[in-house]
Amino acid sequence: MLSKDTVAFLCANGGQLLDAAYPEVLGDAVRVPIPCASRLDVVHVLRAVEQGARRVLVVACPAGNCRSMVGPDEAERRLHRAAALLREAGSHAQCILARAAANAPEDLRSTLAASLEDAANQIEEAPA
Amino acid sequence: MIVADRKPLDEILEMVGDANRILVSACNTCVTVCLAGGRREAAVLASQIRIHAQEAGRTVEVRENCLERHCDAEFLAELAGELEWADVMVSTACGVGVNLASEVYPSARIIPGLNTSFFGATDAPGRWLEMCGGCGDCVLHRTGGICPIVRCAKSILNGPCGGSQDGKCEVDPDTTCAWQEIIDRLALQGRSAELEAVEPVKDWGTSHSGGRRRRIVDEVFQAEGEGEA
Ligand code: SF4
Repeated sequence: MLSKDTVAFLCANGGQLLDAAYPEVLGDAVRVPIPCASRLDVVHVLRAVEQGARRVLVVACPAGNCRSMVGPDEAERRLHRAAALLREAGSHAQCILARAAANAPEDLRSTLAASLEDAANQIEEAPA
Repeated sequence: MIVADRKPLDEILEMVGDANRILVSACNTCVTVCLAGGRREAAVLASQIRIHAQEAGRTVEVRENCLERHCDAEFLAELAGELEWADVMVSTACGVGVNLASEVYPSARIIPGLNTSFFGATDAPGRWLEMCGGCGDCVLHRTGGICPIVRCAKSILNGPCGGSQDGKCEVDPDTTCAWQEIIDRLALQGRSAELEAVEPVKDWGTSHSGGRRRRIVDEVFQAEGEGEA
């Protein structure tokens, strides 16, 4: 279950529709609709962390399913860049890209489950 | 345009020290185009400084602004109020901007957020290449518009050197030999015979090795200028 310390950027053509139909998947995450995942800017991610997010999620469309063709790839590149900038600033906030169509909540659930497990492992591995 | 790179955050933070009020000032000209120090890059840097402070349990106030140009004192006037407030200003302008701002506001602590690298042009989105070394005595008319000062690894004026192999530079085999490019360009223009002419020893007195250079347009300077020490 996601809490308010997760900020989810939702593509208006996919992620936002998914969330409207299956709101339980994102739980209490703070939702931010964006016109397309490709409109994500690294500054959006940094600002979210600045304002308290410990996890930033971008819900983009699956490959080949994007109205703007390259939205998920652009989002992925920017999310990688944002993650590098966050690490440089000493933040351990997690950046997650999920590719899920509006009618595929399972895809989003499984990405989230894997990422949350990853984060738990990272915390376990972190030196005391 | 002037091409620059953002300094690593650690280096910037070390220069900022324990300042609590930090102004990040961007420039809307060259460094915006090369994605190093425009409004967006200043927003990223300001955000990183805030996040770093939060992680360290410190409270800092970071403001951002963006001037049209940092290389004209008129535009720098906008900084006056902000510099009254700030303990330190991180400039994401090129080195010209940092110099001039420090001259206009000598009592302010102004630090460079960028490493200013070269005069270049956009080669492809996200890639810039050096084109001119600002030597002050241009020879491009002789070399088909290809600068031997910066594009030849040895800055040779009567090239190529003996190390060029298959049109590649011996210093870096991934780089095309600038003199190969010059030969090809002159051949294309039907000017190969000009390669026989020997370029005399260059007057490096016009380069930066002689100290700070000046350019004066007399009719303007005499009418409006106030002179310089
Ligand atoms: S010859 Fe000198 S002025 Fe001309 S492009 Fe090369 S470095 Fe610049």
